[in-house]
Amino acid sequence: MGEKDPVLNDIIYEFIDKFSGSDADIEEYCKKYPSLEDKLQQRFRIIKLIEEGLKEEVWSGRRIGEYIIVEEIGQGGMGTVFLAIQTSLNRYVALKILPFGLTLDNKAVRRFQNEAKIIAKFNHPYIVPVFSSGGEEGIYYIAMAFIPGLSLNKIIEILKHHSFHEIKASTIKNIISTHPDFMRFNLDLKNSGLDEAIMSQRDPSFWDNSYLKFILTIFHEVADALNYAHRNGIYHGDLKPSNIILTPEGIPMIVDFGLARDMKAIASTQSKEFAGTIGYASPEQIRDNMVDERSDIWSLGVTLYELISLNHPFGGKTISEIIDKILNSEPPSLKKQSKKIPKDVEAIIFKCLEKDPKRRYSNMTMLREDLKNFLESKPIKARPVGMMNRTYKWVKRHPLISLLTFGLLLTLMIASSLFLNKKINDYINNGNAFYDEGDYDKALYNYNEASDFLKRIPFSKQHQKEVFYKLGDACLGKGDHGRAISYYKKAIEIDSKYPQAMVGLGDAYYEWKFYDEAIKSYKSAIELSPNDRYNYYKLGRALTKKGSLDEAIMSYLIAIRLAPKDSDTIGEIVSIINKKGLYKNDEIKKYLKDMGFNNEQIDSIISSKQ
Amino acid sequence: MKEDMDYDTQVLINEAKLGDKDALNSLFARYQNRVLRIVRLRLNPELREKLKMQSIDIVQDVFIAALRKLNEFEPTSKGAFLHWLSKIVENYIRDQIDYFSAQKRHSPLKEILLDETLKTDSGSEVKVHEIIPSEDTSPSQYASRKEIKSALDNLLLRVEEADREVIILYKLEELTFKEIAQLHNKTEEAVRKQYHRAFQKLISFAEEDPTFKGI
Repeated sequence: MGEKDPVLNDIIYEFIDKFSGSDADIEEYCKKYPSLEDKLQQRFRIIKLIEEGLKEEVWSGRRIGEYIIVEEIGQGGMGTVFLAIQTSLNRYVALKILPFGLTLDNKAVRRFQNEAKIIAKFNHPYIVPVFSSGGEEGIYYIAMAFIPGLSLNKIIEILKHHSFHEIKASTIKNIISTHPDFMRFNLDLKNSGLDEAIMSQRDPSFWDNSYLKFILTIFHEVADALNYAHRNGIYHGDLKPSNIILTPEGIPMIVDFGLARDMKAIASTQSKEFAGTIGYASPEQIRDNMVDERSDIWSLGVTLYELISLNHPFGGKTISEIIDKILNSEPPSLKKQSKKIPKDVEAIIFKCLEKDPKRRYSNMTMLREDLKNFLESKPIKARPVGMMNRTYKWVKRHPLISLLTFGLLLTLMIASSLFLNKKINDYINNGNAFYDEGDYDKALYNYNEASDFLKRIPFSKQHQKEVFYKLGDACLGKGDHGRAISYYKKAIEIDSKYPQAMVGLGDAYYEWKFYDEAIKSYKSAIELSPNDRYNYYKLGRALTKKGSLDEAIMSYLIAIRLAPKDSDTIGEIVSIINKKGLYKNDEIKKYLKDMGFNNEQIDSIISSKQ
Repeated sequence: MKEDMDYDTQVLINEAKLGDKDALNSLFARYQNRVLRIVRLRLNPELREKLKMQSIDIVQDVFIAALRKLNEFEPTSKGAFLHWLSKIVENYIRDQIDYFSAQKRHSPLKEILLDETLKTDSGSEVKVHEIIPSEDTSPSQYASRKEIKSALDNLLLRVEEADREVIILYKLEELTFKEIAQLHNKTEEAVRKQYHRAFQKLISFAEEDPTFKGI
């Protein structure tokens, strides 16, 4: 601590005193005392962190619908989960608030609400009951039962510190009931919003089971719950360990049904969030965001594999490595990891993890029955996959030529991109056709779809900016200036040297009567493409509107130099001359000469005026 | 600015005094986290550990019972209110934590709130501990904010008790220097100086701490 430096200390003293939130201006201090800049920066940073740490949550006490938020209990790609009090029933609920990004998309919100209504009607002992959903002031929420317990991902993390061979069913019970998360929220069941009948008790002998049998029993129950949902037309779409909560009684409860579909598109733009989810996505989900019964079967297979071996079947350090493995690699043999794992269990899991959906269990009922068969020591339906067979499958999926030419990762990226590219091109072409017809709504729809697909292709910025530009044009066509502006800006954000988008931005501002902004945009466009006479023409118009007539004339002069016979430009010049009250030819000639026009240009203007 | 009670809190307190259950719940929801943090910082390590083991609905019982004593108190500022509430909750915990822990939890929220004639002193247990984010928390600001909070509390516990108390009073309870001075029978200037010394100490601890150094 720099007690030795009195000046530094004085500044810190002043700073501690003044500090309230972010209004302390570090830069100012640094400018004042340049020799202390490094020390000041470092000290200020720490003070800021301390102040941050002393601040309290902003959500606490906030009322949303009939719920009062108590505190944040979790956060993930699908939104933030709060513990809340439902005032009308005086009970605790888990309130999930959707990420802001999602609520901007009306279509997604509507779909979310429809599905929430269906799920609210679910009645299954292993599905977390949804009580209600709604939205107000742009905040969308879903209220569900609060489940005291621990999610499987946390259990996996803790189990990794155990010696694998010593894990028993009772180990799990201990882990859950002594975990601080559980103790903190070990609500009296009457307070948790759960029907007590749902929270059934296990037979005490259940805890004498081996770990393997324990996990398979739970997954049989999970499969039963998923089967129930599938029969009701809802797919989970984001099954993973963190979406399965285990109560201290060892009852699995599944959360987040159907929320996933729209999230993926958003999450994929935020790679960190996507990373937590991608490891459980099926190949077809990765390729074209297909969610159905069989992709849930895949995700359940990954989760089961992970629970049984405590290793992820497609682990990797980077997202592309994980994706590569999901699309191309067979998971490591389970038997090799532990001799205790029976070959039938491996066969069941590997049947879930077939890359080709048609080769997996064709529905959840069949997977559930096979798990049951195993638990009851009956023959299972899944055929064990031999080593030879696996190698064969692998070769079949990877024609040698592509391996030699591109390397694995590139092959898969090109393959999946090619598939998406066709879709995107179709949407863009349709959009263009509608735009040309003047049907801006339909154009917008098509461009939006193209944009959604583009988000899923890596290295597609170039195309993205064009789609944003087209979206801007379509909005402008509709007269929706605000949205047009934001789309053009997005395009410019991707490529700051994008003259067309700059002009579009200028047009949108111009039509919205923000002439200063329009002028700025046109000038930027001119800098980027100085030979486009149309930019000077547009700049001239905006300057005229603003009343800068002389400046406008100079802009038109350049336009005319680039296109001497352009009647639009000449017309605008004439109208400025009229505005300036110049009627006699002599006056006009003098004025234009002063502004830099040559005789030929002046003659054509005067003749046009007459 | 600091002396004023924010309008929402004022309204909630008035409604709570009239027995409005929603207002009681809202006050609980709004301040339980902060009050428990304050209480935790003031308790000795043994009680702190016990507090960790308590479930939130038991904490709620204590809060609601405490808030029902609002009639005996007229808060003049937000700081005064938070200070009063923290003290009451702390006393409950000191006096009754063993009793709470020994008891089987029996009075769920529903009954407490529907029972108009409930005696204020008959709560059950108390609670808590830092919440750890569940679900797949992304390595976002969220995780680090939680980390900072818990690391900061550990640093605060290393600061001398009297100095820590000034930081608690000023930053967490939001009392003014003037109010703290009155409370401790000191001059305002003396309190201000002590706060600065305490904060400087906190900074020096933080400079050695990996959580603060590393970010």
